[in-house]
Amino acid sequence: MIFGCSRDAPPDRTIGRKPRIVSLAPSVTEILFVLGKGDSLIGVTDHCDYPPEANRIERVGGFGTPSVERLLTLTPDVVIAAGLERSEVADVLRRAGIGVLDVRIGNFHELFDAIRQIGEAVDAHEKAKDLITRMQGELKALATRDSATRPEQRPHVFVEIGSHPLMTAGGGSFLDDLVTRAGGVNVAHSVSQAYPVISPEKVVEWNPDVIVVAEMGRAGLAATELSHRIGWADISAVKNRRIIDDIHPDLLFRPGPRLVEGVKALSARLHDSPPQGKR
Amino acid sequence: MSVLGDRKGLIAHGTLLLALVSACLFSIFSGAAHVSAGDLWHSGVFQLRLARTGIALVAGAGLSVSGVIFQSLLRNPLAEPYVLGVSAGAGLGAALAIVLGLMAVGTWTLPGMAFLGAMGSILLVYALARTRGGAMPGSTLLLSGVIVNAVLGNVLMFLVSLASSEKLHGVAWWLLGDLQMFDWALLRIVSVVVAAGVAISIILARDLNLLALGDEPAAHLGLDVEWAKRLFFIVASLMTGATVAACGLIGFIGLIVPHTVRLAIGPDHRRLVTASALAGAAFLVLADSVARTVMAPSEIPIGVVTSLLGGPFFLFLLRRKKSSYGN
Repeated sequence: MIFGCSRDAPPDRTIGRKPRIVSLAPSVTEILFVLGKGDSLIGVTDHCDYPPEANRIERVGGFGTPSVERLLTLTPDVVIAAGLERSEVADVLRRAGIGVLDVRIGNFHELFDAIRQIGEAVDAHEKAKDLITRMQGELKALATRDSATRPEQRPHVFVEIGSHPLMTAGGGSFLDDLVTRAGGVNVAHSVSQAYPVISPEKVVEWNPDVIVVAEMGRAGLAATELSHRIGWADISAVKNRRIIDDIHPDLLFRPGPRLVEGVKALSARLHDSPPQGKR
Repeated sequence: MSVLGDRKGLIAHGTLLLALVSACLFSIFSGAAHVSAGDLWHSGVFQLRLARTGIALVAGAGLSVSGVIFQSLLRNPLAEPYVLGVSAGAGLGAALAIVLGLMAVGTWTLPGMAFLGAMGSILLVYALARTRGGAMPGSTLLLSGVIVNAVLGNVLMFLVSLASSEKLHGVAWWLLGDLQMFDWALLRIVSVVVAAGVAISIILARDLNLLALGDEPAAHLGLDVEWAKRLFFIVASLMTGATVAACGLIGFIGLIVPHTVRLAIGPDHRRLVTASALAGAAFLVLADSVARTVMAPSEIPIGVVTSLLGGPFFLFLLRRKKSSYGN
């Protein structure tokens, strides 16, 4: 959704100097840095922690709930968000003559679209185009490699994104798409909600070959924890210790340029894990 | 226990026991996974359902008996297990564990922190409610509880406002109850605490009858009122705290089960305690079966089911027995 781009801003303000950009999402911050606009960023959210340089930029509040006052005093030329929780923020900013771009990123297609839009808004079309081409190329290379594997030979994957209660990624979620592109089959694909709370017994029935634990702070602990769960000992992934808990959650969740790295990391791990369990 | 022996008491308890057994069987044979009855016994699915039925049974009984005790102790029909701040204290502990990411460290941090929070709030209420002479008037206890509840509840909301969206989801689920059970040891501990609490309440049911009359009449009838109040306050709080630590806040059940049972068999605690334990256990086991099957394999929060099922049923009973209600 575009509420008005930098093109709407008074042109005289941007002539002859670097544009002043505020990012309202970690993913947008990462995209801007890859587009070479990191030094134009004058404000980011509390959650923008990558690349490390982003930590030195002034904070303007939480994800989707920025402090409007802080935004106005920074006098940016353009504010780029990924899903503003309060749409009136955009109205206030536009009335103050600030361009607002709000992108929605729910799948890879929308991610590429967002990169293109951001590239246009900050005058970096060429770099945006290059980035999209590179990401698409890498994804295509993975897909070509996997096309030789028949669907029934692909490992079945359960993604655990929360344990209290047990939460996974259903069909239509970014993670579902990511697992497929990494050469796996998401066992929860048929669940229509994006992030459902799931019955633990259903995971026993699904009997995944691999379990990916994507939750902050659980790296190195998940394998033991899962093997001690009531009734989970016979799950193929638990029995064969095929539990992946060391891929940084940001590589799997943050819809930015590093998502391809997430797909590659997952793909590499899945190829070590051919299907074992009976279904 | 002699009252149990009369015809009405026997029929009521027999019916409730039958209901509980049926609910447990229903719970064991229903769920998101499709397993044939023959394979069920050897599968992990059976163990998961067993543990889950167990925690629902224990939590249902514990919360209902806590409700009975608090209603008698505070002599207030609106009293329920969470009225004295245990819920807010436990909620604060749980939210801290979730927001600080402590639950990643180990499976015990969440119930542990929730139980610590519950104990903290109980001590606080106890300290506030005690007068100089060592007495603990019901009205003071209630007021202290309500205030501690409100203050801790707002600190909880402050924490929630700081949480990121994915952590928010975890806190929200916890506040609506979560009966997923992954750990036999946790189930055992909660079961022991609740069983002990229910046993004490059955043995001392007569004292609950006296407390419900009011401090003065109870003292005239030979009860050490302050001792009894302290004991029941601790027993009910521990049962609630253990339950909440294991499965979050399951609303409504501790209020509605005691009242429903009282409407059906009368206010005598020598029947009310056992009947409420059975009814609460059966109700929560059944409600949980609904929570994990209506949208299977997704689950809906148990607190939503207890209030949607329990509310209308209670209102129906209340309308039917309107003329005879009130002890």
